[in-house]
Amino acid sequence: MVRRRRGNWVPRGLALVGSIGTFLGFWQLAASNPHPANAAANISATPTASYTLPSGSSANNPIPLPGAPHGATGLS
Amino acid sequence: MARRASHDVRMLLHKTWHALGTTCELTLATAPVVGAQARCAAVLNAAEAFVHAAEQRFSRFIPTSELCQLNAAAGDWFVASVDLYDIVTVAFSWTRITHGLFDPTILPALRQSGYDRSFETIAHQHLDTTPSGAIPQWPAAETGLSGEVTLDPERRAIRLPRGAAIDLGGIGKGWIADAVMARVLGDLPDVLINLGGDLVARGGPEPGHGWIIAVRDPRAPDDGPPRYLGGFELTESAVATSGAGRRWWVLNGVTMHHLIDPRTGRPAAHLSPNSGSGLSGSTGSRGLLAATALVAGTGSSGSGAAADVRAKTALLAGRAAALASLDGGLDYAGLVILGDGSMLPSANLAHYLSAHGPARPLP
Repeated sequence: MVRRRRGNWVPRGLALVGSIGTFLGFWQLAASNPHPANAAANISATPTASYTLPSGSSANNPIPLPGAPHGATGLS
Repeated sequence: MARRASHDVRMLLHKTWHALGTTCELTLATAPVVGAQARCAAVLNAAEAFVHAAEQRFSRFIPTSELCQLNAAAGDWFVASVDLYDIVTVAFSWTRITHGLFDPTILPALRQSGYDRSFETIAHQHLDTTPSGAIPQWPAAETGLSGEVTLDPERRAIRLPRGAAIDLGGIGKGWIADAVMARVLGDLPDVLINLGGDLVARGGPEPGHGWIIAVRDPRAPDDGPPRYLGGFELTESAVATSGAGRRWWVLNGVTMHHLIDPRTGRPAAHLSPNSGSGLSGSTGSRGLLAATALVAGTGSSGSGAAADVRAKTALLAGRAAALASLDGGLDYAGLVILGDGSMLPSANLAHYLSAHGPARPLP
């Protein structure tokens, strides 16, 4: 048994499930419902898990791209 | 399939805006905890505001900018703000390090070649005269005046020789990226800023991983989808690419570009883009098209400014010397891109990436 903040006692397993559920809930909320401040400022939120990794460049390339780029360098 | 530990879960927040005549991007990785998104949004907005404010102060195309005031005061002492004094000091320190191959005083030559207004108005255009109406006269405007520039740190005063003017274009972008990292994003461990291809990376998108930085194909048209030649996974580094393939125009039938060789006062001849397409080196498929530099460090180390200078001077050094100039052990490395799109790495690039790449091997 573990003691919750509000003083009532609950089984340890239930407390763990509750904690995980709370965490996942917050994550889902953050990932799928952009904060109003973000929407106003044109900020996007993306969990890294959504990235797909393409295969590298050609076999002759000495510096193949190791995955989906987060940014690119080039002529500006 | 391996389960992802809860403490490994990250959320990426991304913001894009237009400034400095280019596209700016900022990406933050943060744990998805309550309040993180709002806090990061405030930081992203502060970073954008910093970049806009810096542009107002250091652009040579904004007549009220502090840089324009400094150039207008050539011949007299000019007391600068802390930031302008710092950029100018950094710029001229690179002039010494590169033995004059990087020279901020090339602005008169750049104007004489036709680049005396925002690039968007001359991009890939055929001009009969410079906007002032004058046909450029060669020899070009005097360059190599950097040795006559005087700095007084006690008063934060700068004196440019009469007739001189400085351009902070490329190094200014690097300096701004460094300043954003150090001043605005100082507390955030996992950040990637990209100011038009000049990037500074700290931390990574996930624990144990660096940011994946692609190298754009300089031959790809501006209006098409991005095309990548390759890339690398990096952390605690700055990256910049320089080349003449995009910023070119034609003046009186002569193709011009923005990479002025301080030794001649003209656009570097060995980098002249083909006026027909502007996309391939004049020296053919094995000629130099672009150079990319990677420099260790972030923020206050000045790596953003350093990467810009390293890339530019590698190009100006020419085909034979470019790769050697990018071989800096674990401090800096790079690659050059030839007219046929092939990439040649500096001898130390793999070693550099092993030191500044992901903290653990990719699966």
